[in-house]
Amino acid sequence: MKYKKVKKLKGDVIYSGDKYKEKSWVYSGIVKDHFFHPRNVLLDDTYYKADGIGVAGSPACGDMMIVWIKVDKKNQKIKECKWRTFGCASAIASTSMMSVMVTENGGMDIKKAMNLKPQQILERLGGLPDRKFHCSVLGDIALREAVKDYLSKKSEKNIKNAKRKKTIKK
Amino acid sequence: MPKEKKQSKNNGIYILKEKIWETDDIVTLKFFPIKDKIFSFIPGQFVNVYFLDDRCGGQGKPYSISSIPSDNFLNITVKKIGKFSGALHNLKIGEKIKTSDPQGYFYPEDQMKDIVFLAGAIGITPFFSVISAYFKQGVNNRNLILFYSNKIEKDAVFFKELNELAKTWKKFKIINILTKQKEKNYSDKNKEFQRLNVKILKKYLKNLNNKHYFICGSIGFVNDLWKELKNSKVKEDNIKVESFY
Repeated sequence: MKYKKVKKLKGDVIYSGDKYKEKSWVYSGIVKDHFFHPRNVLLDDTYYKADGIGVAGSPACGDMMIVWIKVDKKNQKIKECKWRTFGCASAIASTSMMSVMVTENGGMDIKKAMNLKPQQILERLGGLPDRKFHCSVLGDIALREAVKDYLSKKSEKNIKNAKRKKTIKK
Repeated sequence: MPKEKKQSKNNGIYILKEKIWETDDIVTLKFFPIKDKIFSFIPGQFVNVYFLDDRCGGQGKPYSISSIPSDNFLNITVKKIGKFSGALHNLKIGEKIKTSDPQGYFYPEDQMKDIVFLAGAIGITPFFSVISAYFKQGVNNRNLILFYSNKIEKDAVFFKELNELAKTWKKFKIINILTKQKEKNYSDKNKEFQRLNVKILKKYLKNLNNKHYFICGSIGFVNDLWKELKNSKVKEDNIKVESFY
């Protein structure tokens, strides 16, 4: 689905094809598209082998996000990003967009992914009302935790390998 | 779902020992751990704060740490804006709270040498921790410049401390942005009386490139400056943001 950028209102980019285009507080067409058709959702993670897992939010607060990533070991780029949330429409749409952004064009470098900002996701989504901004941060927090998890597992593995090599030499 | 991370040694329970009123609606809460030492953290990180009763429905809220790691206490500086912050303002000396382990990545990394902090009002809290820690450590291989935006001077938290620091420490410079100040002294070199924007940044930084930017404040403040920097061709990787909401 393609949208044409037509107007800016208080930082929100409004897209044509959206019947509410004159009102800055409504969801953009892209937000609605990602909410109704979320990409890369993982409903059952029983057999999913992720390289890194990250969790953000807390069920007590109402919003909860989990992100799984698979990383290409050769170039340290994210090749798969799956997620599941107990969150609102904005959290769903923004995390869906985030999962697209980190896996498109051959995948995002993990260093870049660590610095992915909600602002970048919102820009691609065509904006969100300010009062829904906090819903969009869950995904990138969970993503950062997933990358951190991957890096710590990787360094643990390296230490183990180094120890194994030492014992073989002895 | 993965298992939750292990809590720090002291179970994250802290007792309020002191309340320091910074302005009419901003208070610094000084907590001490009830057991052991305070967790280790990197200046710039935040903790999720929880009440031990169901005062706010068991919900937690993130607050940047405004103290430094070598302190034996935990400071959070809170502006009264809603129900949760209101409850924190009403916290009595001797009351306990629970915190998560420190979280977040909003801090300068080793390779960052020219650092620009853009603080919108209460968004100063993580920067105050970073700047104070660097000063205490005697860091002299980084240049720090803080653009500190407030409506009026009276609203600015840590204003005196930061300006004193800038006088004594050559590696740190502060530009005070006062958007609604009535008495305007235009001869003051390090003060601006308009909204913080890229023009002001260019005036003081000359070249926007090869610097690392940290933006912290309200959603509008952060979004606007992020956009302006991006439009000025500052690399995305050189910008870090934290929005308070």
